[in-house]
Amino acid sequence: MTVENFKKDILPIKNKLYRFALRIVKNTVEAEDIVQETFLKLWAKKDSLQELRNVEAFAMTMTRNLCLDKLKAKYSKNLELEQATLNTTDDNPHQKMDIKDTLENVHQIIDQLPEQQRIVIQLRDIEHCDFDEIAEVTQLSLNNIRVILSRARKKVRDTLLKRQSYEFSSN
Amino acid sequence: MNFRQIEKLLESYFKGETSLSDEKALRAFFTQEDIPDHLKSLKSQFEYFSAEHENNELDSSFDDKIIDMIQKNEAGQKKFLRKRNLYMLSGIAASILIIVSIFFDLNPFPSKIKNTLNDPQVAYEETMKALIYVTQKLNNGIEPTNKLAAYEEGVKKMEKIASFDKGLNEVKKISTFHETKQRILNN
Repeated sequence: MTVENFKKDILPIKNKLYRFALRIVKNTVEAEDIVQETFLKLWAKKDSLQELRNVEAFAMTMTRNLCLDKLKAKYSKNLELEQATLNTTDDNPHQKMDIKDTLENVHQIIDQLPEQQRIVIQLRDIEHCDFDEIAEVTQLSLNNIRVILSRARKKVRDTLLKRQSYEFSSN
Repeated sequence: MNFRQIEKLLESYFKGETSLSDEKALRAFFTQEDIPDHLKSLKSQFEYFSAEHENNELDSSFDDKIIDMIQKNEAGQKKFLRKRNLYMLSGIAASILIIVSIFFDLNPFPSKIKNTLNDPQVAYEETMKALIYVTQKLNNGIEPTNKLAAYEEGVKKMEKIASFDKGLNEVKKISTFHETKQRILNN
């Protein structure tokens, strides 16, 4: 694979990878680093890429693993650091936003879902991946994916409904 | 698509059973302005999905950075390969040279002796000549060793020193005598 082919065929999935990484690590700098690392690893394997059935799923899996490694490293460092990151998320504008800014609201709700639900809803509802691809990336069974997806979607719906009824009652 | 169909789709959507095209239809439906009240709370959920699909993009400077990095990586790889090829080529060249020299008897250290004589009689005479020459030279070498005989003679004369040594030992006895005499005087 030449540099030109790589640029034409592989590099365009950067945004999909970036949004996916961002959903898991919730930090733009880290997410970008991870996507960069993914591409460098893909380049290192450039000769075997053509044999892959689905390069995109392969890249997504790589990104997911890098993200989870990063989170693991971060959380195993110490509890203080975890506390610090939690505090910074408290201060971030998503949390202080106007309740009427509903898209930000949805963003925040999804970001607070458990990791697996977050990954599955991102892949399906935002990136429109088919179930086989999600199975490849997450290593979960199709049934399991449906259950997780269903829970995630309902959780977003119910939380939104709760917040909106709160908004109405406070007005 | 009518509301009944949408409601049916939504039902299977929340069970995780819709297809990708069903979900596309749902997202399209919620882009409309006039949504029935009981579905309004879902509008932001689907709107978010549509918006997020276009959101959070990496700009072209990211592409440049990656391409730059892999090109550097590629250049390094090529340099390494070129160096390795050079080593390999020189190895192959040396092996070929050895094999070729074996086949064609290209001895890099040729001996000076050559079979130039065909007549055995002449060869015999030549050999004799050579042997006589060597003998002469050998004799010349042996002559100076005659001088060694003179050295041997000198050594024989030195033997007389041994008898002097014997006499010296006898003189030692005098000192014992002297000692005894002293002891007696002391007593």
